Amino acid sequence: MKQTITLTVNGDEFQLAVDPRRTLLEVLREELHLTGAKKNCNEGECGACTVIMDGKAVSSCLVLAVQARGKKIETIEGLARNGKLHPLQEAFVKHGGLQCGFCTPGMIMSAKALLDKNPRPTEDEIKTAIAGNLCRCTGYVKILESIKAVVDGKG
Amino acid sequence: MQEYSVVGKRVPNVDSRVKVTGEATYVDDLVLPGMLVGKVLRSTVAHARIVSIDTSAAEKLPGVKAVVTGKDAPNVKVGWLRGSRDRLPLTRDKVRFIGEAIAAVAAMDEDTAEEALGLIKVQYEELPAVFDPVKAMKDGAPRIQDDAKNNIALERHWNYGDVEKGFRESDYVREDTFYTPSFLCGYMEPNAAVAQWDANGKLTTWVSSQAPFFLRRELSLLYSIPQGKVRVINRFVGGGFGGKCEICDVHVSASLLARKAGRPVKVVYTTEDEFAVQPRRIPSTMTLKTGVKKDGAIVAQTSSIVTDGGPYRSVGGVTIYNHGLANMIPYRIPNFKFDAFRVFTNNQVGMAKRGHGQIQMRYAVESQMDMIAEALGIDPVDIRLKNALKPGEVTVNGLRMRTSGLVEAIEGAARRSGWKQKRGKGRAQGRGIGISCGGFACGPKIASLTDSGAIIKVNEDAGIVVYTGASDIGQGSNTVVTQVVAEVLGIGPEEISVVTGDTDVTPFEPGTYGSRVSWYMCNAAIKAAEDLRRQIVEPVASKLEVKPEEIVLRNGGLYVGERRAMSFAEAVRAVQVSSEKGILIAKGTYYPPDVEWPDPANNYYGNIAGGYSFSAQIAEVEVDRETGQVKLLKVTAGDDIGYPLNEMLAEGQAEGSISMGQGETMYENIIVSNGRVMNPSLVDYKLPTVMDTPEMDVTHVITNEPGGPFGAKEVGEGFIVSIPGAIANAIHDATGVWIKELPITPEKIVKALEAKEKEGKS
Amino acid sequence: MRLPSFEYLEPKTIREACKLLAKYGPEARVLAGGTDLLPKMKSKEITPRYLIALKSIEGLDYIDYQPGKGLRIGALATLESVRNSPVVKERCPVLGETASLMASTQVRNLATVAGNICNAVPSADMAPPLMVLGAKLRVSSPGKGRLAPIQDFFQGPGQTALGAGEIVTEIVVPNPLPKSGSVYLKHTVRQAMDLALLGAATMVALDGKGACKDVRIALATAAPTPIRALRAEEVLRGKVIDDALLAEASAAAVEEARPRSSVRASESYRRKLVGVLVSRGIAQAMSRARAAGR
Repeated sequence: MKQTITLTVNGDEFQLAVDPRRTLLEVLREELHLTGAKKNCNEGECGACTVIMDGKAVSSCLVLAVQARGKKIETIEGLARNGKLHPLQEAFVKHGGLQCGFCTPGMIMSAKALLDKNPRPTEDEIKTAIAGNLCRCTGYVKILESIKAVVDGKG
Repeated sequence: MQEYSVVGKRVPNVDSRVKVTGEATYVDDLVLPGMLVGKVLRSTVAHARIVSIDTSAAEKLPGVKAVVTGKDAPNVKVGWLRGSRDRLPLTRDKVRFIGEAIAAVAAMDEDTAEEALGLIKVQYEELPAVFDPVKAMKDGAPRIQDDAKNNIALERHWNYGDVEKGFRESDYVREDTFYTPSFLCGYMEPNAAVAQWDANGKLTTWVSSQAPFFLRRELSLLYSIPQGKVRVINRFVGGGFGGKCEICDVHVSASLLARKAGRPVKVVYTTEDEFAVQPRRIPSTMTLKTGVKKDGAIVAQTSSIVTDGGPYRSVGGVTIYNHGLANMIPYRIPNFKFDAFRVFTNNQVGMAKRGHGQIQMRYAVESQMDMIAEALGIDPVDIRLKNALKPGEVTVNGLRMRTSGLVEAIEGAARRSGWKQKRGKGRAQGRGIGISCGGFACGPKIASLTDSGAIIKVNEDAGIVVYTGASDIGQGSNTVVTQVVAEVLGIGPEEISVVTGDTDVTPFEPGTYGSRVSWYMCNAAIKAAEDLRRQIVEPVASKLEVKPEEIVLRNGGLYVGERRAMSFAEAVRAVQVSSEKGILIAKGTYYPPDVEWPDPANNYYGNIAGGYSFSAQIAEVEVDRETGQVKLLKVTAGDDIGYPLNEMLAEGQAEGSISMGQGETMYENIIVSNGRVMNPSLVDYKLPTVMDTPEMDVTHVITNEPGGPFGAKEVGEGFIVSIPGAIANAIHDATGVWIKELPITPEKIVKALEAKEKEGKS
Repeated sequence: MRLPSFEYLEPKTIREACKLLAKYGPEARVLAGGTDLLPKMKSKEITPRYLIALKSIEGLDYIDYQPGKGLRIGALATLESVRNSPVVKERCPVLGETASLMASTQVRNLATVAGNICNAVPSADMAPPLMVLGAKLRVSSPGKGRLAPIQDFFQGPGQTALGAGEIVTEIVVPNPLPKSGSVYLKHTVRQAMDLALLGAATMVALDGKGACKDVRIALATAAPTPIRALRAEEVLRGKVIDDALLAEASAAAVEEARPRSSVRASESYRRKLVGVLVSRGIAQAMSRARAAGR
């Protein structure tokens, strides 16, 4: 039985009728066509689906859409403003913090959730924030460099 | 180091802006009007005759639009190479491993498709199965393929020099057996395909592929339609590492379902699908016997391997050939004998993964090298320097090393890591340091058509469009091709766009595998750019009344000496309006001039690639002797990649290699018991996280390989192959124990330490 | 894979939730963070017909400390909030440290401490530290509620002492003993996002003379449920702990552990880890106790 929910995604309000079995990830991707959040393991082990919900990074594959009712969701699509990339996005480009790009949206959202709360994190805090985002391509070195560049204001 | 204006620079990946914004779309992000969702039903038993498949309940489920079984598929076998087409894309009468595709359904939505799978009833008559390749080779073992006696799928035997004489002349001989299990490629984007047939009978399929042209060929053969009736379009590819080279049931089920339903169908693998059928690193048992002189110089080696290929030939002889290749690089072995078997079992199918067939052997060779060094009291660095291939050497199997920076790579890594101060001195603190070396052929010659092509089209405003068939799977081939073309034309990379991944549009390219793309594709693109340069320069030269060779393209302009005659755009414009040659289209094709296919009739002798990369890694670890826990602290590496086309991307390849190599050495392992994967999730198949990442220090030795594009060699495979040996040897330095099988888990270390303690007491 | 169908219920009060749970019995599951429940449902390991979500029950996500009552953790308090809580850090730092060793940020922001306990897997990381701290679980039901010691809560893998209609709504952690220290040591293969091959929590309280006044040892993945190593505790209680005693205690813990072999680790290796972690844990808890000084 579908339930009506309101989601605020990247500042836009959506009224949706969703089946309770739909995850937030499925609704973002399939109903709202926001395909930046990626689906890989679908059980909270890879981080590709990470979005920010009420200021916190969450695995959107582990959230029922009905549980996100009334919440503010941020996805990778909402980061660039007026054609200008977010400093994290700029840094990932400049410092080569990505290869295949599949983990990148989730990675950047995890980093953003951290920097929004703590603009000057230590290296350990950065690592903790992205420890749940698996990347098979980069070996993480350039990802860390990218995030540190933003922290150090060298984005 | 030669300086160029664009080549070698840290040019950002040309795809990165669309990747950081989430705009980059992968197969699963694609939605077509009327598209259905497909799912694949897989075998639950390892070896059985299929008695019956009842799909009636599934077909009746509302929302189900098509159900296909093997009988809906043409009775045509597919595979990677001509000699290995032994696999029905959906099996018909028999299943040969757990996870083999039996049927597929397409439905209005994923929930219905999943439900329908559960309604298909398969009746099996189980057959005796065999999971151990050695047992499978014995007389009386269950037969898996009709055409293979003793389940020997393929074998390779080489014999160079006289190994027996070599052993007699050696001062020290030892034999060890090593084992490496199966590893997942572990790309982040699940394999997926969308397929659609049009009214002309043309199949278009959107895929995530390392080799779209091979996929086109197999689909054309499968459906008995010309290649012109198959269009393979690559989306952004979310990693591959070897696992997206081959035709898979994802491609076949999508196209079969789309044909039957008359609507587009998307199939995306779940994690369960990936663990069932993702092409994986082949498990190898390797017995190495090596004879050396007192000074550590290798005199002779025999290398005998048995690999578990699962029930199909897949990539065929390449994997086992590559094991031998890894014996030949990077040390000099004057007498060498190689006996290799790919054996059929009822385990999952083994295929290619980064460092294909070679990382296994490098781990074995490099571990044994340290055992030998220890026995002879030689420093592990010195024994490697002693045996390192030098420029100009030809290996006994015919590989020609025109350049080699291995010696400098070893020396540099040893110096920067503080090898002399650390080696053999950290055991009391649980610290260890170990070295390992490797190398790789830049695009080995494995099939008949391995040429690359590139086409360049010039826009009306002098913008450049480069068409290549290469798949950028994240490694950055779109970026380096941009750089080499920009360099030749003397313009900025921003003037160039790259079109790839559409078999109807680009020239042929075998694919992104075997470390061939930078070498082959960039060389082809350079030739195309040179062709374009000629087409522009010749008419302009006659206008300027100078010789064409007097004109230099740089800085966005055409120069005669120091004089800027005109801008590149002005020159293009001049050509465009001046003659019947105004439509500027250039092409280049490339095949290395001095490469030979290793001929079985000639002992598999031959120089299989135009160049060979080298690497030396030094790993530092900390081992908790009580728990066996290993922390990889630092990897200091030197590599000879000829010349880095893009320093930032080259570093990225090295760093990614270290991480992936670390995973195989320390954490990862597809655990299979009686044909069943016991750890089919990312909970228990442990990819390295950022917390596990060691400090990395990578420096290049520049050798400017004459045949390479701007002197470049491959990067990314020659680097990974030597990681396991470095970590294994560091663990030995820290603990005194050898672990002869991967992964080197804490548990194995503890058990080995306990055994050693007992041994010491008795 | 997709979630199977279910009916989603979102009661507004604990009482209402308990009533629904009592009504639907084994066909219903309580949904808090969902990080364990939803993957199990996707794989169809369990297919409940009803999910009773606690999220709309006001004020269940608290972490609160009152001198008389100790530390109280509401059923919806997430692992990440426990990890970052100043009051947890001050009163029971081991709980925050344990949360840090679990899962990933994006999972900890969803997963709850109560969920980790009620899921009752042998590797539940939160169980051992709560056991050594002597935590109690406030259990609500349609009738009278009760306060259940965590000690007796785990009955088997996935099995708890919860009766029909009962929901854990709060975890109560009493004030730590004076001059005591607690640690949780978790052995994993990877450095992050990993399950415990073995987990050991230890609490040592010292008397004025530096002898062991009280001690508790609890283990994860050492048996079908999280367990106390009572015999090992007996070895240490009331004694001055030295290396020999430590060895004796860890040997006792090895003895009383009942680990099993799995693809993750063998029984013998797990036993070995019991000894190592208990011994290290006691030593570390002692030095914390000495530093505690109150």
